[in-house]
Amino acid sequence: MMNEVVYLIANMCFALIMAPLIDGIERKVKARIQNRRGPSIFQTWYDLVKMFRKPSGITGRPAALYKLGPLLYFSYLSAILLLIPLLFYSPLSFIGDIILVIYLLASSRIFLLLGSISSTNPYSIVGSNREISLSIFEELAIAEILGIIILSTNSLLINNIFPAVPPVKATLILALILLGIISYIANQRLPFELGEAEPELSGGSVLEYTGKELGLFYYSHYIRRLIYISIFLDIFIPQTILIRIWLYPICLILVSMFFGIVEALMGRFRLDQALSFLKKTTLIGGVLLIAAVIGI
Amino acid sequence: MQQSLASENNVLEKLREFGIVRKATHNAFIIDVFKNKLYELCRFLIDELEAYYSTSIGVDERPLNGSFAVYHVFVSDKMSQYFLVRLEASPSHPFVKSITPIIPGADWAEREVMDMIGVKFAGHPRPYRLILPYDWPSNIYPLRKDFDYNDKYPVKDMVDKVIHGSTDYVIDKNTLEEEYTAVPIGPYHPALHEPEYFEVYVNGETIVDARYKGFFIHRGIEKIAESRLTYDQVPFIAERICGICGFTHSTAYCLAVENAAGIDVPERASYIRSILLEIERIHSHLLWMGVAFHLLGYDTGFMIMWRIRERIMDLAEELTGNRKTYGANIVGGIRKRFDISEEKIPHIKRLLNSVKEEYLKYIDKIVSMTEIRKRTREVGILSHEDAKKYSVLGPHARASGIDTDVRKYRPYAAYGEVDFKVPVSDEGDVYARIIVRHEEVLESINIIIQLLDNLPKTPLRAEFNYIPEKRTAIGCTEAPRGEDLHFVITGSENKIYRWRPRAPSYNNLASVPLMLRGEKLADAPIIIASIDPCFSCTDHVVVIDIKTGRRRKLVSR
Repeated sequence: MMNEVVYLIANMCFALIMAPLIDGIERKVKARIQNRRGPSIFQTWYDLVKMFRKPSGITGRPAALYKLGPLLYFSYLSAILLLIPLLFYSPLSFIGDIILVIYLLASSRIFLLLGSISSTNPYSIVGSNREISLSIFEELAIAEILGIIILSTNSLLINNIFPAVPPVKATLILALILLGIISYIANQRLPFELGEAEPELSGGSVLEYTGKELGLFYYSHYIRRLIYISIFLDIFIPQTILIRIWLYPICLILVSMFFGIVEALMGRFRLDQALSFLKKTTLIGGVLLIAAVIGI
Repeated sequence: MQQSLASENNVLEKLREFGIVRKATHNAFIIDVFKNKLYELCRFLIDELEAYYSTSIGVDERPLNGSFAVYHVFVSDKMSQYFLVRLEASPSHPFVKSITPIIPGADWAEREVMDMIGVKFAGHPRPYRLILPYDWPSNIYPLRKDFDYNDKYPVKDMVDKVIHGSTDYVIDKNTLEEEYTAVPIGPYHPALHEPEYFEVYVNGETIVDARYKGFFIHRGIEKIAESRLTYDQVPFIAERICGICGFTHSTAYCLAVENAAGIDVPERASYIRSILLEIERIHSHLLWMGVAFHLLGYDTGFMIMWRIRERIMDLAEELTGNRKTYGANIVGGIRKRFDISEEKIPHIKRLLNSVKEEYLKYIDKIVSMTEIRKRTREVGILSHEDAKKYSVLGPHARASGIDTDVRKYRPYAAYGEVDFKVPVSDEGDVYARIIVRHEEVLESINIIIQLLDNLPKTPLRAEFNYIPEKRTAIGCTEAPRGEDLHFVITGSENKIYRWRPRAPSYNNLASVPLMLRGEKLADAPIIIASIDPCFSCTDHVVVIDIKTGRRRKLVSR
């Protein structure tokens, strides 16, 4: 029992500390590709600390939504950290926990959007609009993929699902590739970073946010990235503590470095282009799901 | 040669039917048009001579001949000539006929004349204020000669106007049938880097219409130059019209004065002017490409382009002592210390070749990237016809299939001596504008190398005694953004009487709302940026503190 509480706390702390560091690593990698020295990998943390020390400014909007948006976004995402295996397996395990994860992932986005759409700023509205359009397909795709995983492992218990044990079905492998792609694009990386799109919308969905709220937004955002990568990694990495404790952080950093490289080589899509790409992804996911139901 | 002379005489013969023709300089005619023949003359110039409308200039000629004058400048690439269509307006009833109904490109220039000189254009479809702020008193015209450059008008008058509303300003009401969301782009927007304002009306993400409001940073340069600077001081302020293409402005000014006074610039000075102009073009185009890639979200391309540009800036520093090629031009040539010594030449050539190599290595990969193509192909299209109608200039015009280049068709400085081609593309989209500029960079490198190979040994400045009074002349250069036109009337006491610089963005910006219609909001920044707008160039004339209504002192000494 004692052990499990320690695991839970360790998981939580690891994720909360590591999430901004992953962004720091991505920034560094991007900078090196662009022939820049780039900031230190702790820069994202410095930025967050600075934002948390600033007062929050409210500009002509329902203050409750403005304040609640980032808070709920953050707390929903933190709840996921309790449920999925990170540094250790998750001790908080119950039947159907994977459904809760999907639910939390999908609904957390809504709070972010509620906050930004409540502003009267046209840029925020356009940015949130884009985010909603993208998120419809992203959440659908991730639900499909997790559905395939559930079907191929015959369990609703996260700790039984991960890692996938051989013999592995063809649909599962394809679903994993899809999951890798989705964990890249569902986290506002170029060319899918449309909601903020600094040169176009000057910050878009987070334009009206300042200080603590902005910091919380970004912090939640990094946690979200970590969750997606972790779900992806959980499928390969065994739950044996001795292997997991070093393999998981290394893989996390490697994946984020890879994502950084990909991002540096990309331009930004227009919404219609991004959507047509996502539609294809979702369609493939749907086909795979049907295949998994049939039992291929 | 004989034939062209004959045809020129024929043209003059024909022009005399429309008005009194006189030769202003070796490359410009002034036509004092008969009042009822204005439209016929414009149509003749555009249809028969294939000239295009360039700009309009208002001059307060009351001290010279007792009336206001308006000059419409038409440019014929075919004949390498400028045609200045001159209209007179009496001070008691300052009205002339507007040409905007037949030449939409004249819209802004005519409104500027209305604001600054107070000559009204009868029949102008949108006779609203363009340059002066809304609360400027309606009976004060800053470029009239009776308005001293340090004049302050009573603040009380100003306050009255603010409260009661200016009488001659009517807001350009939008005539849209349905309600659309108005998205402001500017006056401060991360994509634009300079203060100007686009109001974009969107339906979802699709742009329905767009309006432009600029001239927030009018600096009163014309007035200072006319009032208190001497001929040789003006190049300094001309260079400061633009932070990127400053040298082209001072060259255009010097060319105008040299044309007016009939000064022959020594060859070596012309060559060095051309070299510096091409360096400016390369760095401007590289800067623009970096910005364009940044707007498309491709920051790696942005960093690469600016890194290459930095080497060109080093070259500029080596040649002139400054990253910006400031201070070299002077009427009649260039200053001595901007001479290019023999021993530097091999080094410059080596540097240019290595820059070219590095540039080609990256640019080919970048322009073939899927995202760049997807985002720029068939986006922001300006058709050939519209481009002609709005008299767009430079790379923007060449991307829409108009073969125009001052360097080629109206050679100035040393461009007559070098061999280069003018890249033209028919697509008219943003991608074509990237490609046209890309090819121009390579041409510019070739031009510099050719010029360095043949650098003649002559003095750097022409000898001349004085600059005659009351001469009208035009100086024109191909700035990185297009034709940069400077209009000069020489005056007494070593001062110019009237100087009007017209930067290419002035004409190009008017075509932006046209390109925005029907596009996606996400593409608005790249479409606006695709003309390489230079707002500081466009806004160049009065500093006003709007809160107090006081005109800030321009020079404090």
